[in-house]
Amino acid sequence: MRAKQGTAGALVGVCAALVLLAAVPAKGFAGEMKLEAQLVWGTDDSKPPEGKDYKPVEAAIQKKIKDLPLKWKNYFEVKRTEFKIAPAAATKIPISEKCSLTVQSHNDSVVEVSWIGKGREVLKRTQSLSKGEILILGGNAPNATAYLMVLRRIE
Amino acid sequence: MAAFEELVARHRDKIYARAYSMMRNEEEAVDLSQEAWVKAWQRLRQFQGDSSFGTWMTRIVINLCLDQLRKHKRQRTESIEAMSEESGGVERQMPVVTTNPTAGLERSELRQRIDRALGLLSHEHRTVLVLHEFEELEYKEIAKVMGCSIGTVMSRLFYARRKMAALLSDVKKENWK
Amino acid sequence: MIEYQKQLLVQSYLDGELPQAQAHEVAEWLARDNEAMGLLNELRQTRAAVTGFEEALPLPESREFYWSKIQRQIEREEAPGASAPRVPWHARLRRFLVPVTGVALAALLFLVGNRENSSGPPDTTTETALEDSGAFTYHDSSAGVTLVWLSYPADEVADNDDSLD
Repeated sequence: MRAKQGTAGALVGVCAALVLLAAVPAKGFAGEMKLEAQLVWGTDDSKPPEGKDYKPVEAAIQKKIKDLPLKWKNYFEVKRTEFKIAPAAATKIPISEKCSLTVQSHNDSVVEVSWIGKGREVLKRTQSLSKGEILILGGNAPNATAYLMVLRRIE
Repeated sequence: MAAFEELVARHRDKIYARAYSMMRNEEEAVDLSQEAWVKAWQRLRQFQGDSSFGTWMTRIVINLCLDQLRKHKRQRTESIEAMSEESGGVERQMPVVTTNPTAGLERSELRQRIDRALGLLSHEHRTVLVLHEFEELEYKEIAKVMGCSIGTVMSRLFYARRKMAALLSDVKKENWK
Repeated sequence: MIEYQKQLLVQSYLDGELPQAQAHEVAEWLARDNEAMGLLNELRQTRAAVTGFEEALPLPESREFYWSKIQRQIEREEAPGASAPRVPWHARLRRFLVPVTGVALAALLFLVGNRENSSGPPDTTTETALEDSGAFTYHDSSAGVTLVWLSYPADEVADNDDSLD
């Protein structure tokens, strides 16, 4: 009988300790996540279209894209925007009249990216994205060119 | 059970071959083909004899393979060849292979080349090829099984065949426009 | 170079997928057009080569071993009570603990649940896509790059490429 009481007491103690540990605040969010979205145009032409002053993509992005098995010779930066996402809040980034991206963070390192086209969610991807890493959503565009939406984590 | 064992013995190579053609992995093909046999045992009463038993069995294993490939799809990384299939539209510009791609090849060498070529296709293209050439399904049946449009079936099948022809005849990629 | 849709027509003709009248028209066209006929021959030869391939794929296991695994699985699934789960260890433990530590467990679950809710979905890679989006993924962990390639929408993004604020 004494042995059984001792065992029960030990188990109560373990449970109490677990409760106390659980009461310690979780690590949770360190703060906002800073990201950058670049719309990039892929083409075999050496220059951007007439009237557009697109610059070639920066060297770091160029290198990463060139390592991918994509066939286009040149990549131009169409637009770039930096934005922050607060924990558990979604940020919408318009790409064109009919397309947008929605980005949300789930914790320190995981992002959820939704690609909305013509009012429908075409793709939703959840993955970890550490500083310096990039996620590219791309596809064919008219006249045998391509579009790439390059999402990079800055901080 | 003895009679069922006999059925397994008679059809096992074909069922395994179908699973391997789709999965391109021996272990997975063995597992899925065995799973297909277990399912067949459970559904034996549903087999009405309106198609041959072999056809019925291959449909079971194909469905299991497709389910498995869909699970893979969530986190799959594509081969570089698969990437170029989708981003290039290259099959439209490939030169026609004018010599018979199999001429002069020993049977064993031809089998090796076909095996290698099948392995280089993406799973979508390989599945369409398997369903059409091995399973002899019509375009609309393939579209239903794969959950895509008939147009998609046609273009995937076309790509798969043209790529197979090029690989079998050793046409270098640089020759493609 | 034959137009792509016509190339597909050659394939449909080969596969017997065309209505009779259209098949007849295509046959006449093929008789006049060497390039189209060349394509038909290539597709036909490839089909012939591939069709016989599967016959030569034997199972890489002995008959007895292969069958024994199937048999065991069938017997396992048919065994009476085979699907009845054993009482898990935590249920047995709970039965002992509940009278003494019920409040502690409830508090623990409440606090853990709160923390889980604020973290959102688990930290795993997931992807969902429209059936016709043709999405597939290429990942290079050493370079820190993930590419998701979509065949949809092909003609939407370039419409208004100045709208990124």
